[in-house]
Amino acid sequence: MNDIRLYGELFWAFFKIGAVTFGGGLAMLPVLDRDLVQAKKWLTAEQLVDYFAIGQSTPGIIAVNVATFVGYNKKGVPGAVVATTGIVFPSLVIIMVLAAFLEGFADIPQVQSALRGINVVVAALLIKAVIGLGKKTLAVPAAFFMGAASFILIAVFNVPGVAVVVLSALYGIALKYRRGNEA
Amino acid sequence: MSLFQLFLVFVYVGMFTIGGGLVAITLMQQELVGRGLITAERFYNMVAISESTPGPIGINMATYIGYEMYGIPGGIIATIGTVLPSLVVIIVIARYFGKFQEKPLVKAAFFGLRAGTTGMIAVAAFQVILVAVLSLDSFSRTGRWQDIADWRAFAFFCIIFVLQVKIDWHPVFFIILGAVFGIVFL
Repeated sequence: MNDIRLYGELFWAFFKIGAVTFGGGLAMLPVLDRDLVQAKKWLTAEQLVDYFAIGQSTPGIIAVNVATFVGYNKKGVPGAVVATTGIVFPSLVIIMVLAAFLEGFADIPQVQSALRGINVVVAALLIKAVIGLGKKTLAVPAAFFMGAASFILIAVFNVPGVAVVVLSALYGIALKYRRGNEA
Repeated sequence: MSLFQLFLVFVYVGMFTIGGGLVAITLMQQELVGRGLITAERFYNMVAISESTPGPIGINMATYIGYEMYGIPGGIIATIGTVLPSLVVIIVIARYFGKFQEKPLVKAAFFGLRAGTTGMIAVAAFQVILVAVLSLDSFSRTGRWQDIADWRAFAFFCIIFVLQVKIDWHPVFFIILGAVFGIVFL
């Protein structure tokens, strides 16, 4: 009985995330942080960032990867499948209904206006979410340096995400190696 | 193209989408528009709808294309195909990640990785902000500084930013507020 409740909870948590976020992985961040990290405490802020890092360098859509990861940690393979189904379910239903009945949906002026308003809100929510993550992951100077370097490499020099993932992992290892030698 | 071939195309898309939804769109375009299965115009119409509806854009596209080609079974099969490779890969990683993560070398790598990823997330957030409040194309067209931002959007952005720091509402309420504001003012 408890199992069924947990599966239901997993499905519903990710269903909600799939149903209220527009765009993709990053737009989901504020809701993931609020629902899974703060409210349910299913994962820590550090884990959320880890999953983004892993999602960035493995196949698939990042939002879906996060769902699979959390589902697996909660309830093994069935949990992973349930959480993943939950996050894609709203897409399945909404897209098929629109495709069947409302082809011109994207051309409705109000839809475009509503989306612009939503994008402004997501932008504001993201600042808070990113600052929240940064407080945990960039707390020491060595980490802050890597975060800033990564920002500049991508924003200014257009370096691919996977390359930055590799580079920052090597940086972490190099840092430890150097500290190890000094000690 | 049979339903099974459609499934394989989306497994391929899911397998080689590394780094986010936009990569998936490019792969789908190559595989479906490139092979003449969908017209370019139809494809961009689908992208517009996938961007305007909730859910990850790559999943929305898979459902849409599958539905268009094979009805409801097509929509479901294409979505399963897209998700399947990452489901398998992530389950394998998650299986070993716990133990693996205790190793000092992995711990060190993740120290750097978390910092680097936070920087990466910050860039993406920054781009969302630029698109949401600035209107660079109208600025480059007119060259007038007052055109650089959509000022109503900018004012709304500032209000929402202050509100969400002060009031601890669930993000969904702000998203609904954004939709209403957009319809009324933007």
